[in-house]
Amino acid sequence: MFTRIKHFIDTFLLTELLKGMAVTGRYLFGRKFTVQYPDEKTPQSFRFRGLHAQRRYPNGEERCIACKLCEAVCPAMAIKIESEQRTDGTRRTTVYDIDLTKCIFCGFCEEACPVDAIVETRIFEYHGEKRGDLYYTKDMLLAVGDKYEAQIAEDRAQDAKYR
Amino acid sequence: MSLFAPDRSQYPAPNPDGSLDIDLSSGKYLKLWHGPNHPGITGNMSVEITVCGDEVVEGKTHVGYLHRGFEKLMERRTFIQCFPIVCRICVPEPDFNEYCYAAAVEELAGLEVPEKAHWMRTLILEMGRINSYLMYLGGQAGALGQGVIGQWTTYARDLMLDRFEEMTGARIYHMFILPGGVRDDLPEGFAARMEETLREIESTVADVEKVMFHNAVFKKRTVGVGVIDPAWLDPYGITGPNARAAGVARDVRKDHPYLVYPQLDFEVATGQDSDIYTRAEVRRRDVLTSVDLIRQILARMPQDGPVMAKLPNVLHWKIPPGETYVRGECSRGEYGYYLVTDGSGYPRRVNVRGPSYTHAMALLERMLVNCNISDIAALMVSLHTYPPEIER
Repeated sequence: MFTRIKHFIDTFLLTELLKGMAVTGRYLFGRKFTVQYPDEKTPQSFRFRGLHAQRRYPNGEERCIACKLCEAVCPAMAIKIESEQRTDGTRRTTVYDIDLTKCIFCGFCEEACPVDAIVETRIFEYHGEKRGDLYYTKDMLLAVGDKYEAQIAEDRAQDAKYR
Repeated sequence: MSLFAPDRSQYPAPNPDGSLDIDLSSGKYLKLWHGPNHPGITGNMSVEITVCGDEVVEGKTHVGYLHRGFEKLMERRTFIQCFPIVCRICVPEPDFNEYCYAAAVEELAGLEVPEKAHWMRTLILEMGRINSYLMYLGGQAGALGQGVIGQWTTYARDLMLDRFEEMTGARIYHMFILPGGVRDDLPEGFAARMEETLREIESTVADVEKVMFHNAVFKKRTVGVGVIDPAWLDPYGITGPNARAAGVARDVRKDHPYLVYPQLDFEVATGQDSDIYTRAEVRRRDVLTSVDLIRQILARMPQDGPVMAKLPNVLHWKIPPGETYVRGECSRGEYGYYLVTDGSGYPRRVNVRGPSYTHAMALLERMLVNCNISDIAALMVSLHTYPPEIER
């Protein structure tokens, strides 16, 4: 009997609705979740897998030795490598292309690389105005690596102790 | 005659093959396409419905908009290269696919997984479960016009995605579980940030309970609607929360324990009424169970130790012939991977048993009959199915 009266009062006075409105009202006047994107950014992990980069040794020599492990392991077949022997006797790539429209950012290339030459940086804000712009050649990858070397080295150092 | 058998007295009797002789020119019936894009489901799947007034006389599900042929593609890829594919089978919960496939490969290759990797895997599976349920709660509310709840749960889910990013390096497709273990250890301070996220999720779920589960309109629209008869559970192969809401505690985590679930202390949430409301309630309680499980895992996880076993060269990894079936409980029901190897470097056959197929095809067709046209979206969401997983 008591529950029936309570139910009647609840239904008549719409208390459930009012309680719900109180919760939504709290959200209305509460702290806002929205992140104003270009100005504010959410924290990013040092493991983030974004745009690729080719690294160099401190003396300016490119790291890649054209072992083609990344090409072999790439599940999306996005990497294309051609190599030849240089005059000083070392093997280097002549072509190192990554098709970013195919790439799925799994990070297997980075794991396969024995000399840490190909890495995935934490850059995710890049674009191309036409399809061909997302076909990154060796020069473009090296340029990315040169520009963000400090950040890349810091991320690798942070992750090194977990590996 | 079941209690829940639809009342067909005013419609023509079905033929032996289940079809109906409906005269569309009579003006009494109308054939409509509900889909492929509609608020009822995340993905493309259409329902061809015949209505009389606003009551559905017959429903047929049409899928095939998202078939990508993953099972065939995997036969041409090395075992390690299949991982970016399996996680794409089900976008909201890629980790369950990764775990099942990795466990199948490990079983056939005879790999021993380190103890810590088991804990890490359980952790990431529970995180994925919370993710998936939060997406569901927002969708269920959104299908009934409570859009704001979808925004809250999306915020809570986004915090969980941040934890995923911290742990795995990616937000949606983690590719974190590989054969032999997991790719990385937990970063420093992860447990503290996770605890913060869990508190936020708990408060969001508490708010959702107040706004959605106590809401008179939500109750009117869902209590007693879309009832799954417990007698259908076995014939239709219903698993997961859909079965638990019918009062059957069917959970692979308890029935066929895997990973470290036997060492964890948890209860499987069940309901009684088996309607849309009960299914939503069971899932809400499952979120809280998963939150509790994550706390237990983080408190009891071994601090040191390897997370990855030594793998052979993955590019030339040949696995001896054999076949296996690995099952796991995902947020939708039972997930199973049937893997056959023939001694070569590629899987011979991978067959995925996803819960969405059984729930969204035959069961939905059965449940659509005599359903009100305005309840279709809510009904489809409440089965918690996902079209890309139906077709793979």
